[in-house]
Amino acid sequence: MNLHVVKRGLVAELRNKIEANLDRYLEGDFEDILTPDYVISVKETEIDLEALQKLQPQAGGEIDVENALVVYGALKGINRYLARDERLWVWLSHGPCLQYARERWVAKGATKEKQTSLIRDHFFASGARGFERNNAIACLWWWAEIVSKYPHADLRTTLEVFLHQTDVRASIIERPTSSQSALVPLLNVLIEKYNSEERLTFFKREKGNSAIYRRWLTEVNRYGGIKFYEALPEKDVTELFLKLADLARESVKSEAIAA
Amino acid sequence: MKYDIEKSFGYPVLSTHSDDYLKSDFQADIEFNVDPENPGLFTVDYIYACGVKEIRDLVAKGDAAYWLKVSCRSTFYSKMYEVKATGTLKLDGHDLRDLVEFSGYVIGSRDGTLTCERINLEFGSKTFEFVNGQVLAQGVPTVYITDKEFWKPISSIFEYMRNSELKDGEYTIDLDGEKGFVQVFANEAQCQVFKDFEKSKDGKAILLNTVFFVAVSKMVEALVDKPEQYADRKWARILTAKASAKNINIGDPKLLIATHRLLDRPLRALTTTLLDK
Repeated sequence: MNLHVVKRGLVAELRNKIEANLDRYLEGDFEDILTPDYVISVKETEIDLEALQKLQPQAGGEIDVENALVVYGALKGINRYLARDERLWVWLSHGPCLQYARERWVAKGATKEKQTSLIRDHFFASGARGFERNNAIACLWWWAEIVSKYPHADLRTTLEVFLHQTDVRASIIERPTSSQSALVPLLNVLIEKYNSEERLTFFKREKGNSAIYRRWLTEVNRYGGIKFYEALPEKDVTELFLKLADLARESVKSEAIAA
Repeated sequence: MKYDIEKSFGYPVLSTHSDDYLKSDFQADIEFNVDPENPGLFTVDYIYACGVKEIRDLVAKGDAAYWLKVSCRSTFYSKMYEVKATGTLKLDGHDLRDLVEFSGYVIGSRDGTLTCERINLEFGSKTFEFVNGQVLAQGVPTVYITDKEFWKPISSIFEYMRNSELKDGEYTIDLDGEKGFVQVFANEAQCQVFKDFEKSKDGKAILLNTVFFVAVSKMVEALVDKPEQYADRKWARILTAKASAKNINIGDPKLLIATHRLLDRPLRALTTTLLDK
């Protein structure tokens, strides 16, 4: 079966009628709406419906890794242009992945207003964050796609490091320097830290800029303001990033002692 | 690396908006188009003009090089291409969506020294050392819209929305529609008439002179009066890019002229259609 996109008019109509369709979102389906009159098949794509049954609705970094692998493997023939089309993700969230999206994101006991808001966030995809963070299926695909080009480890290993902590993932994706210009050297360092004894301290969550990884990413971004990471050999950039990680650790440590 | 006219690198960088080098400029002219032989590709034609001989000499010796950065936030695409002073690059359309930014640079290829009499005295010396990867010249970025919609007729930025309260022949226009499209509201029958019109040459001529003409006038007016509110909307970006490509000044006080030209003089199309009959 090919992937499909929902016609634009239907996206707008669904978005406008979330409250009216609340029962469908909670228990029913949209099979009578997602008919050939309202959806378009996308050539040279394929969806593995059986594989998508493996999606698990629980929250957590490890589950995110499994789900990202399921979605990335089950949706074939997607390029980044298509993956930025809300209509595709609306079809998946309201059709083949409705059960997962509902169980993962729509809290049954919540108020109607809250449920409507959750559906608006996770069944549609508006703005950059709509794809990378909010849509129930799009975010899983994009996380895998972003790190899939990393050449020094398999996708599962890279995803484990990338997704093990929400703030690490968000900090990388939201900064163009780290998500686009220097992703490979950045992952080199993250994987090294993740596999070392330093893991607990490096990734320790702290408020504001006192988490070492957060301060490190700030420095990586700052240096990117004057140096072109892409114009330098990967080895040199990785070495620089390791030095910046040492500096970040030392500065957090000295501040803690001073306090 | 974000282009910022207020930013100082702490050492001389040749750029249009800085006086780090006196009476000198660096320009990267970028032309972006759909590849005429393969609509799935984009072509990027570039020409670099570097006004400082000493920097050009560094490039000639291999101590520095011209680079073209292509980045697209929507698809996380970011690549640096080492290029000659002029040339053409081909990009896969599947990697790009929405806005794509092109920036030209001269970047040090190894550690070295640059001496130039035109360096501003504020730096205290006419000589400075640079390292591999350091920016020596920076062009003003050029932004293009890659959306397939942009390459379609301007009518593609409209969507018809049903409003049963409107009577036959009535329509309203909303510039604040979701996803940045211009929404044309009409009752179901009228929406169908609009869609049918789109299928024929005569119908298109009528649509252009009625719905689209009114809507584009409103869009231009909104962009002139409230750019802060509308400039980032999808329809505004497409309209602005179209205007730029056709050398139309949207801020022209003769608002109607801009609208006529943006729609390729629709009255002419309607006149031709009627005369043909």
